[in-house]
Amino acid sequence: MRVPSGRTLLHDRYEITPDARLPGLSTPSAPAFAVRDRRNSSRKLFALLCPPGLPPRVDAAAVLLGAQPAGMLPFVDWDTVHWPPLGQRCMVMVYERPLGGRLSDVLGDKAKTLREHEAQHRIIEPVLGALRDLAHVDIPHRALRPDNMFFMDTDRRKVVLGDCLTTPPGFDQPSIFETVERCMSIPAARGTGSVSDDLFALGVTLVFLLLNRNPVAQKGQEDLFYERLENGTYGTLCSGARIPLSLLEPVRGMLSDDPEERWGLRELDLWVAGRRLTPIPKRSAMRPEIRFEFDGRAHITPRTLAHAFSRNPSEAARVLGENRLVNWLKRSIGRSDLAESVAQLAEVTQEASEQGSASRHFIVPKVCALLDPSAPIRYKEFVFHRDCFGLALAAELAEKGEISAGSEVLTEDILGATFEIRRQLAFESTGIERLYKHMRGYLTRRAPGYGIERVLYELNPGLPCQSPLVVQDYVVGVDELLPALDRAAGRAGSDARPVDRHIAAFIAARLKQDVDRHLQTLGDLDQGKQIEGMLSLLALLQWRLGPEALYGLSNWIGGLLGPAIEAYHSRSARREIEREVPRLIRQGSLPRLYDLIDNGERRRSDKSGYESAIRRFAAAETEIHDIEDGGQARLDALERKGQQMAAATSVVVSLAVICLLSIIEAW
Amino acid sequence: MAVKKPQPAKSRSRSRTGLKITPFWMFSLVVGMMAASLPSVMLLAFGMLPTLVAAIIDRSHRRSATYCVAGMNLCGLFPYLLQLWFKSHSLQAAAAILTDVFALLVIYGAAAFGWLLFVIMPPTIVSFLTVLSQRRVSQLRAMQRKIVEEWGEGVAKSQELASTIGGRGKKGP
Repeated sequence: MRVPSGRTLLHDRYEITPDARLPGLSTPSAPAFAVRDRRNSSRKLFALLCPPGLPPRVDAAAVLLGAQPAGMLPFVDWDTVHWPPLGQRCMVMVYERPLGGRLSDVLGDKAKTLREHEAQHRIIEPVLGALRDLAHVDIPHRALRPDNMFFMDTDRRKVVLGDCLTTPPGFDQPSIFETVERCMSIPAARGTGSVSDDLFALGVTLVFLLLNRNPVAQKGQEDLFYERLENGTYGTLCSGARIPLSLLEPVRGMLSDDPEERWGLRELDLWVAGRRLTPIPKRSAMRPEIRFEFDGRAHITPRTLAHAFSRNPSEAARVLGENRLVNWLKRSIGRSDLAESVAQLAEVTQEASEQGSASRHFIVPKVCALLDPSAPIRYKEFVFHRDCFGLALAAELAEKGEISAGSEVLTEDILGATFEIRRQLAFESTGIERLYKHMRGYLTRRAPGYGIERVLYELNPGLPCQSPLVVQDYVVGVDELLPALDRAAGRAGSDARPVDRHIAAFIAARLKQDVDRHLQTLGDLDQGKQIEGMLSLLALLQWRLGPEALYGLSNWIGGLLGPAIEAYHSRSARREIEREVPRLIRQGSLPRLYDLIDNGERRRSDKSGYESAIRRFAAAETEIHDIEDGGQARLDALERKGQQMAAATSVVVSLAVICLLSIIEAW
Repeated sequence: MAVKKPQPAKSRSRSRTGLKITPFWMFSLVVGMMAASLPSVMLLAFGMLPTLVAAIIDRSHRRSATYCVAGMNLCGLFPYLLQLWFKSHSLQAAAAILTDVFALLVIYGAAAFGWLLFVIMPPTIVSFLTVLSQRRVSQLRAMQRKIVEEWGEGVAKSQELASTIGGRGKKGP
C-alpha cells in the first residue's frame, strides 16, 4: 500500500504525520502527532511517540487494548513504525483525540477554577471509575496528574485519564505526585506501584485543582523532600492553604504517607456514597531533643539522614566511623536495636576505610537501608525501587550508553544485603529476592548471552534490543530479530558479526527455549567455535520462527565462515564445504548452512581420519628414525644376518648335493 | 621347622645328561665308527681338515664361518665317500683318494669356496638391504608429505617436526 510522503503507516490503517505535532496532547516524554484513520476519516485520533531507549508498558498496552477501561482515553492501537525524523523504528500508541482539551489548561483559567461542589462529580467520580476498572485488570495508571487528564467531549463534562503506556510507570510524574518512597528513585525506576499510588496522585491533583496552583512550586526538590519527610505530604502541600471542609477528609486520606493508612478504592467509594469516615489525624515526624547535623542540615529522623547519607557517601562513611550516629539513634531516637545494627556496619566501614575508600560505596547503601528500610535501594546516583531494577538498568543504558552502577549493585550484592536487612526488619520480599539471586547467576557468567545484558532483557520484557546493529529497527519480539539482522547485513562492515552481546542476551531472554549449549559454543575461545555457535543460534531462530529465506544475513554469515570451515582438518572436506556454501547462501537458509558446517557424520569422519593420520604419521616417523639412526649397530646386525644367510646357503647346498649324489648313486 | 627348598627337576636332568652322558656317547660313537668303517673315518678325518681349521678360527657365537666351510667341504668330500662306500671300502681305496691331487683339489677347493661364500655374501647382503631401507625411507617421507598436505601440519606432533619433514621432502630422499 502506498504511503503518502512524509507520513508513516501503522498496521496499514493509521497514517501518522510526523510534521503535524500536537503540543496540546503531548506528554513530557512522548510528543503527540496527528493520525488519520484510512477506514474512517471522520475519526479523530492522535499518536504518542514513545521515547526510544526506554521500555514502554507493552504488557499493560496489550491488556488495555482489550479491556478499554471507562474513564481513560480510548486506546486504539499500538506497534512499532518507521519514524523518518529519527531514521529508525519507534513505538507509537494511538488514542482517540479528546475534544475538550487538557484539564489543567481549562481549569487553569481563574474563571473556570474547580469549585468545591464540582470536585466530586467532575473529577473524583470519573477518576475513581477509571481506577476501579484498571484495578480490575491489575494495572495501575501511575501517570495521574492534572496535565494528563482531558475533557473527552466539547462540553467538557467527561473527564478521562491520559496516556500511561509510553513510558515506565511514574516516569513523567513530578516528584510531588509520587509517594515519598517512590519519588526518591530515578524517574524510570519508581516501580509499577498500585492503585494506592494512583489515589495518592489523585489527592495531589485535587489539591492542585482546588487551589488552582502548585502550592509547592517555589520550593526546591531537596527542601520539598525533607519537608515531606518531616511534616508529611499533606502538611507540606496544604499548610496555609484553604482546602474545603467537605473535601478535607478524602484529601487527607489519599495523601497519607503511610501506605497502611492511605485511602484505598473502598474508602473512596464509601465517601462518594455519602458515608463519612473518621479523618486521619495530621502526623508529623517525632522531633528529638538533639538533631543530627550532617551535610549542612539538622536531621530529626533516620529517614532524612538515610537520604542525606546516600547523597554524600564519602562524608557518610566518615561519620559512620565515629560513634556519633549510634549514640544519637540510641539516646535521641530511642532505637537501640537500630543503633546496634548500625554499630556493626560501622565497624565494617572502619575496616574498609583503612583498606581504601572504594568499599564505602558498598557499605553506605546498607546503612541507608537500615535507617530507612522502606526507601528505594540507593547506590551512588543509582536509586531504584526494589521491583524496578530492570528499568533502572535500561535508564542507565539510555542515559550513559553503558551499565556500570547497575552491574556493581549486583556484583557487590547490594540488593542481597538490602533484602537481608529487610528480612531482619520483617519486610516481605522473598519473590523479588529470588529473582535477583537468579539475575546474579547470569551476571557471574561472562560468556555472550549472559552478564548484565541478559539481566537487562530478562527484567525488561518490553525493552527493544539495544544492539547497535538493530537498535534502529526497534526489535521487541524475538521473531523480529532475524528480519532486522537481514536488513542490517547491508549496513554492517565486513568484519562485524551479526551476534554481539546484546543480541545473544536478547535471544536467550526472549526465546522460550534453552539455548545454553549454543551460548556455550558462542563463548568458546576458539574463533571457529564462536562462528559455529553464532550460526547455530541464528539457525535455531530461523528454524523456529522463520522467515524462510534470509539472503542478506546468509551472505553476511557466509563471509564469516572461514574459521569454522578451518576447524575441519581434512583439506578435501574443506574444499567440499567451500564449494557448497555459495549454493546455500543463494537459498538464504541458515539451518542448511549450519547443517553443512556442523554435519555430525562429516565431523566424526574428519576426527577419526585426523586421529588415524596422526597415528600413521607417527608410525612412519618412528620407522624412519629406526632406519636412519641405527648406524654401526644396524650395519653389524645386517652383516650378522649376511653371515647367517651364507651359512644357511652353504648348509642347504650341501644337503641338496648329498641328496642328489645319493639318489644318482643308488639309481 | 625349616623346609628344604625343592630343586628344579630340569636342572638336575641337564646336569646328568649334559656333563656325564654326552662325552661318553661321543666317544662310543667315534670308537664304534672306527670299528665299523675305518676307511670312511680316515677319509672324513683328512677330508674335513679345513672345517676343523675353520671351527678353531671361528670364535663367533653363531659359528657361521664353520657352518659355511663345513657345508661346502662336505659337498666336495661326499662324491669320494660314495665312491668308497659303493666301490671298495678299504684303507687302500681311502688312501688312494687321499693321495689323488685332483680329489684333494676338489675337496679343499669346495671348502675354499665355502670360505669365499662367507667372505663375500654378508657385504653383498648389507649393500642390498641398505638400498632397500633407503627406498623405504623415501616411501615413508612421501607418505608423510601426503598426510600433511591432506590433514595439515597439526598431524606432526610439533611445528618443528613438520617443517623438518617439509624441508627433507623438498630435497628428496
